[in-house]
Amino acid sequence: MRPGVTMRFENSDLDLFRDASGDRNPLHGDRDYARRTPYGEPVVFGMLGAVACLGRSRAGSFRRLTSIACNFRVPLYAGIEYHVEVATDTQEAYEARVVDGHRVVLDVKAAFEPRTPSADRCAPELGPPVHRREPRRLRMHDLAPGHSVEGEYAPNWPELRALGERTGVDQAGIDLADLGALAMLSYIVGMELPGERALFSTVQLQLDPDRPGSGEELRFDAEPVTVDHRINRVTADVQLHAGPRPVAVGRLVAYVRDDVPPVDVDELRRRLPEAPGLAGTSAFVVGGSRGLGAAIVHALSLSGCDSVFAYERSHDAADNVVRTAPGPGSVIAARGDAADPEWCRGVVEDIVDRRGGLDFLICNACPSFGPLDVHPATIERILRHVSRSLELSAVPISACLEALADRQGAVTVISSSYAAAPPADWPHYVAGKRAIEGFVEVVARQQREVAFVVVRPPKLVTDLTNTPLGRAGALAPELIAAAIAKRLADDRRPEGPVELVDTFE
Amino acid sequence: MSLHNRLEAVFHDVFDDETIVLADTTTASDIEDWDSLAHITLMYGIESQFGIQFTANEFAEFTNVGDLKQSLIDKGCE
Repeated sequence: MRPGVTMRFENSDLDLFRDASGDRNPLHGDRDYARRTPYGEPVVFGMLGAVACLGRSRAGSFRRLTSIACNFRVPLYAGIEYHVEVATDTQEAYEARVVDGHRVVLDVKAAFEPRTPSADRCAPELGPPVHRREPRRLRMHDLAPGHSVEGEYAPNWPELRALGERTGVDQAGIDLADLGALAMLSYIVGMELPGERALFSTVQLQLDPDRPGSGEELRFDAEPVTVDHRINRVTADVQLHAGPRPVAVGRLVAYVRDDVPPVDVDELRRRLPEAPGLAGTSAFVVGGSRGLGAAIVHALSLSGCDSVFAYERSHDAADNVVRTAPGPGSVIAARGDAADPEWCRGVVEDIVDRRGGLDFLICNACPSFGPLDVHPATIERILRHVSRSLELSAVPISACLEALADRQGAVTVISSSYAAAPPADWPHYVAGKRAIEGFVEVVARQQREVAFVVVRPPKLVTDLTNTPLGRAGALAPELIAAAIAKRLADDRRPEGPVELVDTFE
Repeated sequence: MSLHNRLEAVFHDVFDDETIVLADTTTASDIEDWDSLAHITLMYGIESQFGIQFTANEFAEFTNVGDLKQSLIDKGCE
């Protein structure tokens, strides 16, 4: 392995790839959109990662790409320094993988044949870009073997050339026409099949060694061959054409993200008693715009509790929670950083002014996360997550204690069943949840007038778990939300300093 | 060939590593590169080897090889 090769993406790299390829999938550039996915922030285009990896080849440029295979194993993010482990780098072959700590993020295998040096096959005056402006939004039920998607395509050639120079791939035997073919693959998955909901997983492509240079009109044909509804996986055969002739054939695999369903108020009604057991009470919910938090806010509303919920950036989602609140309890959204003591204090004072006091604090907010191995390259991110996770509960707790004590109220923190049975991939998530639980154990001994409840839900269907395997076995958040509302309506004080709730009907 | 050996053969093929020795306690942490992508490839390989189908939940729920073997036995594989 050649040591010491790294790569790092900036947002400007994503912008350049988007402009060059026409792949305008919002997962790669729209922060609000990405926040509603398990990834939490925009993801680097997989093919950009592969191209940049290819650009680390030192075997020279007098060759033509004949085949390429890529596996996109874990999302790449901007601002992180990845390491490139090069296993093979010869005139004929390049094999490398991009790693984050110990974890392989993507791997690339490319084969080449020699070609005589010549001027770039791309004529400087080429046609304008030809592609969709908005991605298709195909769902699994739209996909079936034999139902192909086809169309014309042309990248933005000048931007593509700039991309080749920036990634170094122009010096590695990938000429502009071939870079256009790779860009087209990203475009096909991210914009056409399946489009917006896509997660690009793998691709294998064979290129015709006698293919012409760039400048010809490009067309693609992508036909699903297998569609697996169990894990939302589609395998498709692709053909790329330049003018009348096919220039490349291959196979790609992508996953299709489902929508996370909105709060099922009818399900909450079924699980909650008819009489609002929390009438006349008030609550502050930290992290209430989506998922379990939104379900808790609606469960409290059905139970007669007036609540204010905190959210930081998901404005549309927060608006929706307020708009669809079932009542009779009122729901107000408060935008801000729950880890800011001043901001929290302001929210609590406002609740006390309006409602005469504060009865409940529910701490649900959690930063998004992906799998991480413990490694010097990842430890800062792990610690940042743990710190952020803890402060999103600890700061609101500190701000609310006095008001809660006046009413002999309760703090409920949302931990996780994984705190008791940690998965190997999530050191940061588990450490964050255990830190919150440990903090609450101590605060409960300092502040006896307030009841403390730690809830450890099992895996739930939320934005955080909305991945191909993540949703398997996940339960509806309404189950937990109703259980929390019923527990709060039950005036029974915990027997010890902290009550643990880890079983649910 | 026993169920265990047939299962081990699938692992050898998916991970391109003939030195893998499975135990009932083997988990993803014990095998290099056993990530979610490899896991799906593995599950497809097992389905093909044994002529069975996993449910959607089963794709993600096995925590170790022992659980996987028990599931195969429950599905009538020997």
